[in-house]
Amino acid sequence: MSAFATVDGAPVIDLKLTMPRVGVWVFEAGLDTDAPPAEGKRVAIEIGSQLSLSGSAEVSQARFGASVTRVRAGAGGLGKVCTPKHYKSVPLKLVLSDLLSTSGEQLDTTAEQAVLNAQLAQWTVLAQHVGPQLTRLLASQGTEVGWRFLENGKLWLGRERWSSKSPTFELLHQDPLNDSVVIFSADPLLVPGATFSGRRVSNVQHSLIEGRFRSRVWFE
Amino acid sequence: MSVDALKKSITGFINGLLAPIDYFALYSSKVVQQDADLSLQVTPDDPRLPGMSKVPINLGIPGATAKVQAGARALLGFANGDPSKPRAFLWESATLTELTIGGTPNDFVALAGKVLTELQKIQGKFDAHTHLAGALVAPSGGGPVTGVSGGLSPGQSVGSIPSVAATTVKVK
Repeated sequence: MSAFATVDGAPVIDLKLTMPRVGVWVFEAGLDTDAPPAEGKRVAIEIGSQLSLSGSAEVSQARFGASVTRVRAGAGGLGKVCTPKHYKSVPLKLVLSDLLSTSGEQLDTTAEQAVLNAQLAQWTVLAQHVGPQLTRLLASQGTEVGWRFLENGKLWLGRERWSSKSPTFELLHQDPLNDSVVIFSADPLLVPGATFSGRRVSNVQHSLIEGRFRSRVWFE
Repeated sequence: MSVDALKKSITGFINGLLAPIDYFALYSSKVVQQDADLSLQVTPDDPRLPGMSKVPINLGIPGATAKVQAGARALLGFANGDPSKPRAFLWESATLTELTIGGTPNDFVALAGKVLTELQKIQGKFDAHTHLAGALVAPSGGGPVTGVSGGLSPGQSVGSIPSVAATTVKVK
């Protein structure tokens, strides 16, 4: 019997995948192998038959014949420190390009061109981590402009398109206080930035615990 | 996580706590050059900030502009914490070469300029604030002062000045 989820082909025992609408998805798993991916190594994650992710192992440790690992989207480079630089009369994509170069991350082709081509009269990059600098840069284009790492491990940025997702699902729990639901769906199709049951999905956390796969969905 | 990576992570965390850097602080900087539009090229002391150009001066006096010599020191910050709005504030040390208040020249400008020039000669070093105030707060009434000779000292009366609509003073 093939595993429901794998990391570089190694069967996953349990997992938690947290996907924010703005930010970096993080995957934590217990693996049925004593040879987890090396820290810093690029890994391929498969969950179900329709969710493939690409990220970098941040922490891995073998224990008792099994192992645990934490994977961050992309190259996991948003914690690197920027080279300070001052820009004058440049498009946003030039500053972004330098940030991506520092972090080793890649821009997805679906990033919104209007945002990339926005002109900056001046911009100052401090020797801070790339993550806060990226947030600051995109915040300059208005609160409706967001960014996140896609499943393919590349950076997307722009205004949300709120595409509709209609997975077959079973509603397990509703939490009106936190405006979230817990569902079971055979395929974890739900990702942030989509609409589900007519509502905008803000964050999603997929989990596999004791053989039970669940998806918790927070709405906007 | 390897021991080296852990040490580097801890060091970075502690450094960040002890000396955080953000857009809401002021940083000591040196003026490299002042451009024709009066904006500054500055080099911050902290290497975590880049050298910058086209930095406007927030002089703190409505309508006032200043020219300073290279080597002047000021605090550098960002208006509203916005990375696109660097500003130079609060001089630490600077040699003023020209100060303009307001924008409409008149006879009084020339007069005040002469007064201040004389004061500058006397002191050898020009303290703009003190002497400018002394010149402007001269007794009112009567006609304008027609000439200024040497021997003036700070605070000394330089004559009487008629009511002045415009308030442009240029020191050169």
